[in-house]
Amino acid sequence: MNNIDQILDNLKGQQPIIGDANQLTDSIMAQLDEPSIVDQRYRIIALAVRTTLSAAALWLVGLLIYQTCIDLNSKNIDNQNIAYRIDNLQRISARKNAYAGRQKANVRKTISYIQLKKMYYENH
Amino acid sequence: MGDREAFRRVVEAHQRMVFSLALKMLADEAEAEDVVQETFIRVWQNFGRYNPQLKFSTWLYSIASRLCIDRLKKMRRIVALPDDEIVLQRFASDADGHTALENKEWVALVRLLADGLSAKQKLVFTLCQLEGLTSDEAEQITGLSARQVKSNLYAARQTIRERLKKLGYE
Repeated sequence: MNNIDQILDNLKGQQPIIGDANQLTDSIMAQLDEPSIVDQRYRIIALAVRTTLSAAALWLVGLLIYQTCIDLNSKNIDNQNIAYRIDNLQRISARKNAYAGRQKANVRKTISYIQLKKMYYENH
Repeated sequence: MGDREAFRRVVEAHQRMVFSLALKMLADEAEAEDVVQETFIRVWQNFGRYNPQLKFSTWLYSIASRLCIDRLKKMRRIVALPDDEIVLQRFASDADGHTALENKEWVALVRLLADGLSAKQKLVFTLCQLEGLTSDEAEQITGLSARQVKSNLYAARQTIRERLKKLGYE
């Protein structure tokens, strides 16, 4: 049988024999209820992903709270500064008004005196 | 309990068929037995996905062939050994050609013949040439088109013919 086709034809349909078929069947049946290696791998990966996501979520919430606190503090400080500045400005403007009022009063007096003098000389 | 007993009968009826495919694909008895176990565990876990329009053996073959391809990718390349030629000579010199091969002899022949074939070529050759399935069945099992099955089978046969010619066969 040196013909290639004959060799290939004779190989067709031949089935090898399992050494201990019953043992293999028993082994398969025993493994049916065990979680497979793939399942175990998925479980480990799922657990790792869940833990990481939980940690990330906690970190984000913490970061959010921290940022909010910092914002509130800075706002309080800003508000205090603004109040202080407004107070100062009000004091300064009050002083300015008072000074301006006095100046006006002086000017008015001066004008009226000069006018009176003019009027006096014009009339006489 | 009844399900388990029925499944046991299914395993008993089909395990040799799966073992045959796995041994011819992987050329390793222990690996082939592992594939048989994994195939039936997957069948048990995914029985709800079985499409009754397909033959049960086709579904089994498709699961087993995917597992074999995965294992082939992880395994080192299967290389023929010097003694494998002696097994081929003995098989070829058999006058009637009906002597049943032992598993070791199958392993030697697969190593010798399938050396250098791609995983797809090896799968299509095993299904069509060694297991004696039709091209339609090979298409359903592998998910390849008719053209792909034909071209892979042709390439595999050509490679094996050339190897046999080099070894002195006509």
